[in-house]
Amino acid sequence: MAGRFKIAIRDIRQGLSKFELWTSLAQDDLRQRYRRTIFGLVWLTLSYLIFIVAKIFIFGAINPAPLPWFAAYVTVGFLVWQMVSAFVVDGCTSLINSETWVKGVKLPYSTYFFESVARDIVIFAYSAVVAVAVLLFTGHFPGLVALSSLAGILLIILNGVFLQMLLGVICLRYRDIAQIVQTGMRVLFFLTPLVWTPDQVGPLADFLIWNPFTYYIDIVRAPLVDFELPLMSWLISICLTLLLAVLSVSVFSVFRNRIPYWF
Amino acid sequence: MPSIKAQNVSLRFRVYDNADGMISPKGAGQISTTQGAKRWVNALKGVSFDLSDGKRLGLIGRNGSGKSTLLKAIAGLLPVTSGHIDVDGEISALIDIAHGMRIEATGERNIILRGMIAGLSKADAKARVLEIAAFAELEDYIRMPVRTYSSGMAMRLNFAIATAFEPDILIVDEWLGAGDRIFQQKAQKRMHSLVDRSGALVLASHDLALIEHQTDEALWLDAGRVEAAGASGDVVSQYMKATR
Repeated sequence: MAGRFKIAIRDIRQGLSKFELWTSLAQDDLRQRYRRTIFGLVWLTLSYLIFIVAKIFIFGAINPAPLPWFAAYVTVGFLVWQMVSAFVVDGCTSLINSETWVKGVKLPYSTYFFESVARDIVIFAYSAVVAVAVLLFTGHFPGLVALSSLAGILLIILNGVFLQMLLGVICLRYRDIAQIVQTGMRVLFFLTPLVWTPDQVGPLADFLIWNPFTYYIDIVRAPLVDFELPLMSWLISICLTLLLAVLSVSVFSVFRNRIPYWF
Repeated sequence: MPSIKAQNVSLRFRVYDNADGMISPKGAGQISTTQGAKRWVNALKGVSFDLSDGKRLGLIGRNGSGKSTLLKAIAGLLPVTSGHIDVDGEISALIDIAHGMRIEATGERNIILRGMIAGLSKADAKARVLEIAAFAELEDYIRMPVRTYSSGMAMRLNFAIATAFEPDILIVDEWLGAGDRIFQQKAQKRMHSLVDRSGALVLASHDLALIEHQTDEALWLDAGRVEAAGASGDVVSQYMKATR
């Protein structure tokens, strides 16, 4: 077991050092997705903008909060959700989609995890432009506390790496898990305070403590929208990250040798 | 000096797709079942060899006998079930044309990606593009997506890339045959020069003349076991006698 753990850690370290490679692979993934389009990656910004405007006006109409505040709340919340959900959903295919590479060239498997995370960070960055614009437009000028949002984003990215590792390995072996996860994320979108606020749902809000995504959203959104540092959410998010780290590195260590046989 | 040492290597893998039946073709790795309905393929069984004196090893045997599996195991792409493979030197493997390539990306882009995989920086990999493209003789196709290539062209590119970054050990599976006559001669010349530079070569092929001429030693695999090993000429003639 100790030997396997060492091999897994070496895989992660070597993968990390191939920074130029996985950023290039991620770049190619995105280029391929928007191949022969006129706007290219700007589509990410455009579609996010259109989506968010529709959400603000529809859900804003049934929310008692002032519209400028609600607009910032939805835009930032959905931006973070989009990245978190991409990490979860793409995690399921981080290895499955790299089949020809895993079978053809000897690389640390973690290269594919980093590739997947890098791709989702780029998508996040293109959407974040809209969020920054909405924040400024609605008078939410970020203060010093906003720096903690950046730290929150970094923590979520770290979780993203672990999610690629855990889900990438598990979904490769058990192909049904990917379907379960995708369905689950669609349901969780409605169970996370993104387009509604906890005060709108009455006693149902008590159940939110069981939704881990609530805390990850909160550590980025609260400083930007309410100018406060949500200490409880930070504490829970850090604990969840540690839990996920142990789980994912364990799964990767134990099953790393089986990966090429599971395609 | 690059070397490969395989000690009592066995490799079996589980087949997860629903399958039924236990009979495998003559000479191919046997299917077995354990613990109820789990199905396994015994691809390699107790394979040993030592490639340090003879620098060029040939693999022959019937379809499914374990040649490609052994190549993949040497290349570190498939972990073995038991035994050891100790490899000294950087390996470059040409096992499947479709693998290790991005077919939507251009030939040029693939050269850069594979250069980085071989350990070069992006800038160094970029600097090698022209020379590798020239060897593959793809002209302006090098700026087209690989999916537009014929299989021979894809093979040429893959061969040019695999041999460009000075590997110590080159592993080549059958498909070198996809190139046209002129390119095959060129490819053989390059393999020679690589071996002359104190590199090693492992070649699997059904072309027995190729094995005889290009390799010093050979392994004849049958159902995952070593049926015969020794000087290429001897092993090839034994194999020919047995398969007449």
